[in-house]
Amino acid sequence: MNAALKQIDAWQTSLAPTLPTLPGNDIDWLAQRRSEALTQFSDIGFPTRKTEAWKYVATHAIAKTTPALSQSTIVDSTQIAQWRLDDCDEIVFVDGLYHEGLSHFTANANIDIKSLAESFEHSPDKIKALLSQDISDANDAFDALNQALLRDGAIVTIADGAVVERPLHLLFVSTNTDNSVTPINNWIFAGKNSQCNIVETYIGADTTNNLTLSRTTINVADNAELTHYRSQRESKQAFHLAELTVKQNRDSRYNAYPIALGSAIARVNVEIILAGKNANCTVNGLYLTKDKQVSDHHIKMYHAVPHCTSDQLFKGVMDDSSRAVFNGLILVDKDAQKTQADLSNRNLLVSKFADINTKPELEIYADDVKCSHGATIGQLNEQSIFYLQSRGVARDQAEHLLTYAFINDVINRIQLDALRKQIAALIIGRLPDSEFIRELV
Amino acid sequence: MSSTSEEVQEFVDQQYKHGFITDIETDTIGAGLNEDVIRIISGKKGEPEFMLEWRLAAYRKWLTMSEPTWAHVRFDPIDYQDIIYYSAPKSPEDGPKSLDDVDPKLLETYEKLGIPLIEQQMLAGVAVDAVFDSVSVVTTFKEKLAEAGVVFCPLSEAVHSHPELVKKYLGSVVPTGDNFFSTLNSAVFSDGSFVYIPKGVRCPMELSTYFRINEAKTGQFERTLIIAEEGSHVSYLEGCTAPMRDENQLHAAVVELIILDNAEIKYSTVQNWYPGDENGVGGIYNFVTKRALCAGVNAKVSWTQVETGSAITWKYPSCVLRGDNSVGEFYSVALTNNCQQADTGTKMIHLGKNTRSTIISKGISAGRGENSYRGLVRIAKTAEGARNYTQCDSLLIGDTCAAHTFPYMEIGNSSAQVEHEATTSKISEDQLFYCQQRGIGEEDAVSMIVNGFCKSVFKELPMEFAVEAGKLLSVSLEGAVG
Repeated sequence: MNAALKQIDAWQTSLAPTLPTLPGNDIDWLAQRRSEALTQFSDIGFPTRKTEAWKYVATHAIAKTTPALSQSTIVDSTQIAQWRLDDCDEIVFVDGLYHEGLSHFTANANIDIKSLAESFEHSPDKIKALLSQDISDANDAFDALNQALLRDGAIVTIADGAVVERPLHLLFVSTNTDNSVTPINNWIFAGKNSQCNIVETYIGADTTNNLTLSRTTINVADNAELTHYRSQRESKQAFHLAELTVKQNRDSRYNAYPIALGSAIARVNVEIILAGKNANCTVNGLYLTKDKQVSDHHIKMYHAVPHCTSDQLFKGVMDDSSRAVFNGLILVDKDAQKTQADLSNRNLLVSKFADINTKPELEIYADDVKCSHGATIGQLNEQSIFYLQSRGVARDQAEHLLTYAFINDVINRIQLDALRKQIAALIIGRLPDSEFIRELV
Repeated sequence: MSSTSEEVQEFVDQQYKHGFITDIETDTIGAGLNEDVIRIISGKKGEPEFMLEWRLAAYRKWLTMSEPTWAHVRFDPIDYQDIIYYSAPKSPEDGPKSLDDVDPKLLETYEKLGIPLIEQQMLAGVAVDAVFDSVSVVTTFKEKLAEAGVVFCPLSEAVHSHPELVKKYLGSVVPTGDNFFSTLNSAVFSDGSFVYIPKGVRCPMELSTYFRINEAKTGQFERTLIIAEEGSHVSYLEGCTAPMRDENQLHAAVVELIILDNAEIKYSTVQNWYPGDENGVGGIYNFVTKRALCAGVNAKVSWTQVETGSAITWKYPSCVLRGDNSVGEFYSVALTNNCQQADTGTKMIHLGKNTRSTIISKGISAGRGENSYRGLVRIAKTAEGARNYTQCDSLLIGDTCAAHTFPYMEIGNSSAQVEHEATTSKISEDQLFYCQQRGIGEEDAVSMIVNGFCKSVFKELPMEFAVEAGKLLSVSLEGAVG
């Protein structure tokens, strides 16, 4: 038996006994679904460098751990205070399990939030219907594992016509230090003509080394508008593998802000399906890596119907011996005439040892379209550095300031004040000369 | 737009203009491939022992390999045992001494193609090494080239006349076992051109080879090897058309370029093989491996290609920029119409310091054509100060065609500056209207816009090729107004 098979076997042996302990496992179809997913996970096996979608990311570091299912530890309010967002409703999950004590939210007619674990008990049929509408790609081993361990997550439903003023913050806190697996499955349903801002934050203390498997499924109904921030700041030993699937209906607007700052290996697969005419999607992404971090984004923008627009911007800054991978596909179906789709990926390598592998793809089957993509990899402009130097700024400081300016382009697009300030402070803190930059911005 | 669809139909019904078959006796071995066939091929050419060994090693390697499936093309599986691997025009022994000795039917073929050899000799001053099926029939201007010290001859001849060069360089850029099709080529290649430009020589004329597949069911496996010694310069032209055939013909060529210090090779291709009929029946499978190695400092290589033919094109002319300050360029126009499929692009591998590369790719899809650009820009850790600029634009004509872009960028050096831009669009109604308003017919307007779209590539072509390319493009697009 080769090493890879041994590893997958070890995972299966370790995790199979925990399946019966999962909530709702007395429901036959659910138990069966989980065990099928586990078999699927071991059938697919860990991706290798020969798997096109994982060409640039070695998963060996993940595969070699001996996993167990994460257990919730006791966390008090002071520990997570720094990660909270002001003026938001907050739903807190600790190690993948809903924590009522830390959450604050008042139920109202506009928005309904349920925990998945609890819903298994209360409304299993509804969950069954939810799961049967699965639209994600089933060829990913880690997503299969997440489905095998299907445990908890938030189900957010925004009522038709509701304008939700207070942003909703879904805060996922990791505390485990024993290489455990944390499965998370969320659903967000934005009802017709509704408006809402949702922030999804994944965070962990510096010592945590969990593997977070997250999947968020979003449906944006006719003429709804959803702004979705996804901020991933897990610890430098943690692994974060996520799926985000979005379906947009007629006249809907979906604005996404995927921001990846943390994790040893972070992978986000995003699939956005523009399934209703005149839907509009904007994505503003940011990834920063340092030390030996690996950050990987795979985005698929699928224009399935005519008259939709999408506009994406991703910026990345890679330091030390870190690596970033970006794969952005724009797929325009043969019926999707009058599509306008743009993608821009801009990267800054600030260290000699950093790597970037980027692949913006276009796959176009319609003729009356305007599609473009661009990717750049470069350095800071010498003239800009000189400009600052000539005004008495040291070269180092000038470089750091300009690096921040490069990033700030994306940060500035964040509409939510509390989040923008939080992210800006965090990023400035990561840069050398943070005092100096803070003074200036 | 009803007139448009009529015109499209009219275009679709058009017959392939270069489709005809020349009836001459050929010396062919039976279909199929095994070690004996390779021995026969090698024996027929009277090759030295080392070449036979080299072929057999490649064949054994090939047996262990499987056909690549990653390209964005679809075709029925190829039966490699149903292909004739060798076919040579009869009478190679008493080989033609001058044009007068050449089989008149051959000359007729060239004339139908609009390549009057004699005229070309006199007017264009181009030396032509015409490959008719698998054996080079006539080589011109030998003396003039010999004066300059340039070796330009069929590879089969070079094996005898310059075995040390062939031994040293053959397979040094595209090693046996590089990929499925190149390995097959290494095992069975029939002939091709060999060019050697000595140190400091600027080749006095443009070298040109016209390839032509003629024998039905004959896979043609050319092998081209060009060596540019220090400080030399050569411009090489390759162009092809093929007669109409119903069965798919496999074509797996290998081109290797070696460029040493301060040398430059400019390699231009116009490819117009039979693309199959409007239903995708027939047509050439064009699976080509082309690679250039800039081995020395300040070496420069430039690939220019105009791809309008073939049912399937699978071709990635690449540049390995190993020497410091070396330069790689790739200019491409690829047109797909009817059921044609093209998956083409380039690889720029930057290894040396201050290496630079430029990629300009223009894809045009019409009818049910599928056109993919697939490219790689790799900046290695060692490539300090490397620079790449990539632009690939796609033009869509008609609502059943498709255009794709798959650019890979692997950047391992922070001093690299890499830019990639791609756009996909159709000819805008505004542009068309503007032209029509000024009395230019729709068809001419489209042709003009398309030519403008491709201008940045055409201007890289040598004069006589640029004319042919422009003509080819407008012929290929007649009636396909969108």
